[in-house]
Amino acid sequence: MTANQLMIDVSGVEKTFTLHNQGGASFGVLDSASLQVRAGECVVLHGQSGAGKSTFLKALYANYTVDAGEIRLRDGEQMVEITQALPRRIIALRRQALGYVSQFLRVIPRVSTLEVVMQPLLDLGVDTALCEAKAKDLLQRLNVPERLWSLAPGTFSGGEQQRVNIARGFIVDYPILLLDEPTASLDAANRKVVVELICEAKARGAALVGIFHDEDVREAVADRLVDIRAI
Amino acid sequence: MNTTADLLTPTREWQDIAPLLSVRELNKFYAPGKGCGDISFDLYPGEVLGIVGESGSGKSTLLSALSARLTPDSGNVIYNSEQFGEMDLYACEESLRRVLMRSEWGIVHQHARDGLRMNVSAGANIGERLMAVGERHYGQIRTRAEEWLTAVEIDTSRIDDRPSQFSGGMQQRLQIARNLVTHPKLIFMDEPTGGLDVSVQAKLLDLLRNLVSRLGLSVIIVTHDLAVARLLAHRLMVMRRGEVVETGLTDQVLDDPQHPYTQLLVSSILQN
Ligand SMILES: Nc1ncnc2c1ncn2[C@@H]1O[C@H](COP(=O)(O)OP(=O)(O)OP(=O)(O)O)[C@@H](O)[C@H]1O
Ligand SMILES: Nc1ncnc2c1ncn2[C@@H]1O[C@H](COP(=O)(O)OP(=O)(O)OP(=O)(O)O)[C@@H](O)[C@H]1O
Ligand SMILES: [Mg+2]
Ligand SMILES: [Mg+2]
Repeated sequence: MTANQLMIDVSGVEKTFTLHNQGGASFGVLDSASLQVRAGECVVLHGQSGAGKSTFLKALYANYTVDAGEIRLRDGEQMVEITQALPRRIIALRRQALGYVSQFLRVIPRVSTLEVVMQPLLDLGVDTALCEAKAKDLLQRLNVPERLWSLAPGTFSGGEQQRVNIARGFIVDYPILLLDEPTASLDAANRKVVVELICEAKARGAALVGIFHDEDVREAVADRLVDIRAI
Repeated sequence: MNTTADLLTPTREWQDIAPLLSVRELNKFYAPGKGCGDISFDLYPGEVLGIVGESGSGKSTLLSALSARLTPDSGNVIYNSEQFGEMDLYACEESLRRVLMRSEWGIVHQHARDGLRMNVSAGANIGERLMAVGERHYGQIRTRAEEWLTAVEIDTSRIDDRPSQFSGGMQQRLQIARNLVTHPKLIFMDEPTGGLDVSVQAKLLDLLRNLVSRLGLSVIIVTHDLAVARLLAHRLMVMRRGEVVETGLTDQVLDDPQHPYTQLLVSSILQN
C-alpha cells in the first residue's frame, strides 16, 4: 500500500428496501451516497438511528445489494467494482482484502474460540503455528480469559463474544476494514484496546470505515467524521 | 497444500480459471410446473453452491439432471473433466458418465441406504470405490479405508461392521467417506442432514465444512434448511415452482432478499 492511495471509492449509491410481504411498502435509505477513503485513513459515520449507517457499511461489504451507483474497492493493483462482481470475486476479496466486524459474533457450532479467531488467517494458507500465536496474542490483549479459548463461544457473554469477534476481525491485516459498533458493549479498558488495534491498522496503511457511538473512541480514531445523510 | 484460498484464487489469476461445470438452459419437466426449467449457471473450482426452495420446487430434479442421472428435455451440462477434458454430459457415451460417477464425482444421498451397500462391511463400502478406480492391493485398500473412517470420526474398530449396524449419523458419515476416498472434484448432495437429530446434524455439518474447505471441493448441495445453506454455501440459487427466482452470494440472498418468495422464505425461519 502506498501512502494516500485510494482504497474505497463509492459514487452515487442508491438503496431502497421493498417489503413485498408487507403490502409492498418501499422506502429509500441511501440517496446518491458517495465517499472516498485513502490508505491510513479512518472515516467515522454518524447520524441518527435508522439513518442508514449500517446499510452503507453492509453495501461496502457486498452483504447488501444496491440499486444504483458504483462501489470500487482496492485489491492489490486492482480496483474491484463490487456491485457487478461475481460471488467468487467477492469471496476472494473478502478473504484477503476486506474485513468486517459487526456487533455480533456469528457462532459456528462445535468450533472453539481459538479456531474461530484463527480461521480467516488459516484460509490464506498461513502456517498454523503462526495463526495460533497471533490469535492468542489478540485474545490476550482483548482480555478474553485463557480458560475460554478451547471452548465454543456459543455460551459466552455478549461482551466476551464481541471481543472474540474483534480478535477474528483483526487477525488478518486487511487493507480495508469495516467496523459496525465493535465497542458497543465493552468496558473502558477494552475500548482502549480496540482503539489501539484501530490505530495500529491505520499505521500499517489500512483504510477504515467505522460506526462508533462512544465519544471517546470516535475522538481517538476518526480522521474524518461524516454524516450519513450528507454523503 | 492447496487451501481454498488458492483455489478461489487471489487477485491475478482468478479470471483465467475455467468453470468446472457450465449449465445452459436446462429443462426437465414431468408436468407443467413440476420439474425445473431455464436453468443456467457456472460453477467454479472450490465453489459451494446451495439450492434452496420449498418442497416440490424441483431441487432434487435439478440435482439429478446436473449429475447425469436424469436426462433433461433440453439444454446442456458441460463438465470440465480431469480425465476427458470438456464433456457434454448428455451427448457423451454412457460409459464415460459411469467412470465420472465413481472417480471425479461423488453423490451423497439423503437416505444413506441409497448410497451405501447395506449388506457389506463399512470397510468394503469404502474399498469398493477404490477398487473401481483400479486399486488392487488389499493392504492399501484397508489402510485407506481406516484413514477415511478416522477422517469422518468413525472408530476404526467398526471397519468390519455392516452399515445396518450403524446409527443414522454414522451411516451418513460413512457415505461421505465412501465418496471422498477417490478424491473427487465435484460432490452432489441432496439434503445430507435431513432426518438426523439436531446434535447429530451439527456434527455432520462441522465435518462437511472442514472437509470441503480442506480439500477445496466443489459442491452442489440441495437443502431446505437455510442455516445449513449459510454455513456451507458460498452462493445460493432459490427455486420456486421449477424456476430460479433469485441467485447470489449466500449472505446477500439471506440478509437482503429481493424476490417476494425469498423474502417470505427468509422471514419464515428463526434467524440466529
Ligand atoms: N435487510 C433489510 N430489509 C429491510 N429493511 C432494512 C434492512 N436493513 C435495514 N433496513 C432498514 O433501513 C433503515 C436503515 O437501517 P440501518 O441499520 O442502516 O440504520 P443505522 O443508521 O445503522 O441505525 P442504528 O444507529 O440504529 O444502528 C432502517 O429503517 C432499517 O429498518
Ligand atoms: N419421477 C417423477 N415423475 C413424476 N413427477 C415427478 C417425478 N419426480 C418428481 N416429480 C414431481 O416434480 C416436482 C419436483 O420434485 P422434486 O423432487 O424435484 O422437488 P424438491 O424441490 O426436491 O422437493 P423436496 O424438498 O420435497 O425434496 C414435484 O411436484 C414432484 O412431485
Ligand atoms: Mg446500525
Ligand atoms: Mg428433494
